[in-house]
Order: sequence, then C-alpha cells, then structure tokens
Amino acid sequence: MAKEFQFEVVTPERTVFSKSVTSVIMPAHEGYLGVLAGHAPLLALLQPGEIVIRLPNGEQEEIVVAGGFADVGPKKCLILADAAETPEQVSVERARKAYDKARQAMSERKPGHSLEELELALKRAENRLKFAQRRKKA
Amino acid sequence: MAIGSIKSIRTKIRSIGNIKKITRAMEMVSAAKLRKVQERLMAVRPYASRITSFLTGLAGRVRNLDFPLFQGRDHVRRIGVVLVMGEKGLCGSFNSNMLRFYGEFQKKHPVPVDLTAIGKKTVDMAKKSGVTPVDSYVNLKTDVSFGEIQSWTNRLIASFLDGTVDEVWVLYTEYMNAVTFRPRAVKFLPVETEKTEGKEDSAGDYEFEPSPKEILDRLIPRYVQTTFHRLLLESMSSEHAARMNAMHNATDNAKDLVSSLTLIYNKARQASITKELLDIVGGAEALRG
Repeated sequence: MAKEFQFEVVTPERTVFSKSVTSVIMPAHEGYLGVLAGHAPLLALLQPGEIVIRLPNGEQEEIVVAGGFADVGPKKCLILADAAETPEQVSVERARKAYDKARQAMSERKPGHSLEELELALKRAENRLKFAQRRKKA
Repeated sequence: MAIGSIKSIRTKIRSIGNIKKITRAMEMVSAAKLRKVQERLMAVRPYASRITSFLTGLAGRVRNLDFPLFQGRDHVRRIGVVLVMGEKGLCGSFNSNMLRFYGEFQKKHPVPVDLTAIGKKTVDMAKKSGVTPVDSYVNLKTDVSFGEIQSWTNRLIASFLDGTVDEVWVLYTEYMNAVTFRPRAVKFLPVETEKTEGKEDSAGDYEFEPSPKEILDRLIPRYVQTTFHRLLLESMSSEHAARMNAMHNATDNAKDLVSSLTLIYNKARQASITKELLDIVGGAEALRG
C-alpha cells in the first residue's frame, strides 16, 4: 500500500482540494512533476496545466490550474494556485469566452500589457478550454 | 392633560415607529452585505496566510536576499500611510475609533506622512484636517477587481522603490467576528521576513524550480496584492458589522422609546377621559340640584 500524504490546492477564491492522497502530478515550471510521499523539500513555480491526483482508494481526480506555486515537503504538499477548477466547476462556454477574449487582446496588442502577459493569459485560456472540452466528451 | 399634548405624543410615537422601521431595514441591509463580504474574506484568508508562510519560508532560506522590496531603510524620513475607513457613517464607533488610532499612530511615528485615503470617510477627514492625500479611492465595491488592487499596490510599490517614502503602513480594522473588530497597523513595505539566523544552511536541503529569484519575482506581486485585498475585505467586513450592530441597538432603543411613550400616552388618554366623566357627572349633579 502506497504511503499517503496531505495535499491541498488553495486559490484566492476558495480551497479547491484538501485530502490525503498517494500521488500527485503537477505542471511545474520545467515540465510535469510527480510527487509521492517523502518527496524532498521543493519550492516550484507552476505553469498552466492539469494536476492529476491519485487517491488512496485508487481513484483519480483532475484539477485544471492557471499557474501558481507549489510547496512540496515529505508529509505535505501545498499548491497556491492563481486559479483552479475541478471538472464539475469548469464550463466550456466560459472557457471559450475567456479564450476568445485572450486571442483578441493578443491580436490587438492591447496597450498596458506586455506581450509576455498576453501570451500567458492566452495559454491559460487555451489550457482551460482544452480541459473543459475533454471533460465534456468523457 | 390637555388634548394637544396627547396628540403630540401620538405624533412622536408614530415618528419613532418610522425611525424604527428605517433602522431595522438598515440593519437587514448591512447584515446581507456583511454576509457577502465575510464570505469573500473567509475565502481569501487561507490563501493569504499560506502565501505569507510560503514567502517567509522562502525568504528565510535564501541567503543574501537581494530584493529591494525586502530591504528596510535605516533612516526613515517619510512614510506612506494607507488609511482605510468606511464609506458611510451610522456605524457606531467604527470610524471614530480608527481616527483615534491614527492619532496615536502619528504620535508613535513622528515623521511626515504621504496619505493614501481609502473610503469616503477618510477623504472627508483629510479635508477637514487640511491634509491632501496623495491618492484617494472612494466607493469601494464588495467585489473590488483584481486590476484595481493591482494599480493601487503598484503605485505604493513605486513610491517605495523610488525613495519617496521609506516605509508603507496600512491602517485598517481587523474583523474578528460580528461584534469584535479592532483597528490595526501593519507594515506593508518593506516586506518583513522572519529572520532564521540559526538555519543558515537550511537552504541546502531545499530544491527550487526554477531559481529562488524567479520564484520571488512571481511570488512578491501576488503576495502584495493578496495581502492588500485581504486588508480591504477585513475593513469592509468590520464596517458592515459595525453598522449592523449600531442599527440593531438603534432599533432596540426605538422600541423602548415607543413602549414608554405609549405608556405615557395611555395614561394621558385615561386622565382626560376621567376628567370628562367627572365633568359630566358634576354637570348632572348640578342640574338635579
């Protein structure tokens, strides 16, 4: 039986996830990163992507994140996400709207935003839209 | 008692009854607003406290932290103060407590102040005491947008970085529960981190992805905005709670007043009836005689 550890996903709006889990895969800055109990202490930046969580009973949960920070320790893993949604919370229409808005902002090169910011926003929107669409089919 | 005074008591009862209705309605409105703000406050608090410990943890582990926002200045010549008060009155001692607190704060920090006024009451206060705020924001909404907060914090950070001010403080009212809240002052900038002197080498057993500096670059703006947002929500919650309590008390007082006035009114009415009866009986006696 795999060891368990405490895993939390917190956003400024709410606590999205807080349970004991056996493994977590998260989109860290340099690429996807798997975490098991007893992981070496690590502070990481997250990029937009999906977190895949495996629960002690073998079930799997997914959460879409828009970037943030991760604090990994041997017994505990905490994610401070800029925004995060579970499959039930994410809506395709809203994701599409955000995506279209981000694209438009990108093509107009809205003043007051750096290209980097716009790119990141577009990436976030794209990520959420993909996640939402896939969840709908499943 | 004269008929006139009976009538005037009745008018009084009616007008106090109307006041009671208004204060009751205001209490309800404040309660609803409080619920809304409180919900957001409770949602943001876990994130805020965790990002704080994340930051202090990170800053404590990195040696030679070369980040201007962390560096305190030995000589404080001028400070920036963000004073958060309410939008409206009729909320008990909420605003006056804050004012008194600000007075004490100034005694403790006898240096020139660049005032950022948040809330209409702060602006009014500044005008009365002849201070011109550097910045002022009124009509704070429950759902302050992230962009707004960002523009405020950016301005505060800019004035700190270019040396206009050497410290930035936020004076706000901390919300504990619906009946307790107290004014507090927090040092906003420079960002204060716990000194972990003994754990000089603990940076060794932590990994960073990517480098600590890059994480800090992203983390600090987040931290500053989240903290600021939380402080605003604390103050707004306190204001609504204070108003709710004040209006509740006002309603209770109106109730007492109505019942004591009703007693006087009934006595006066009874007295006039008795007097009339006496007149009639007296008149009848005289006719018979």
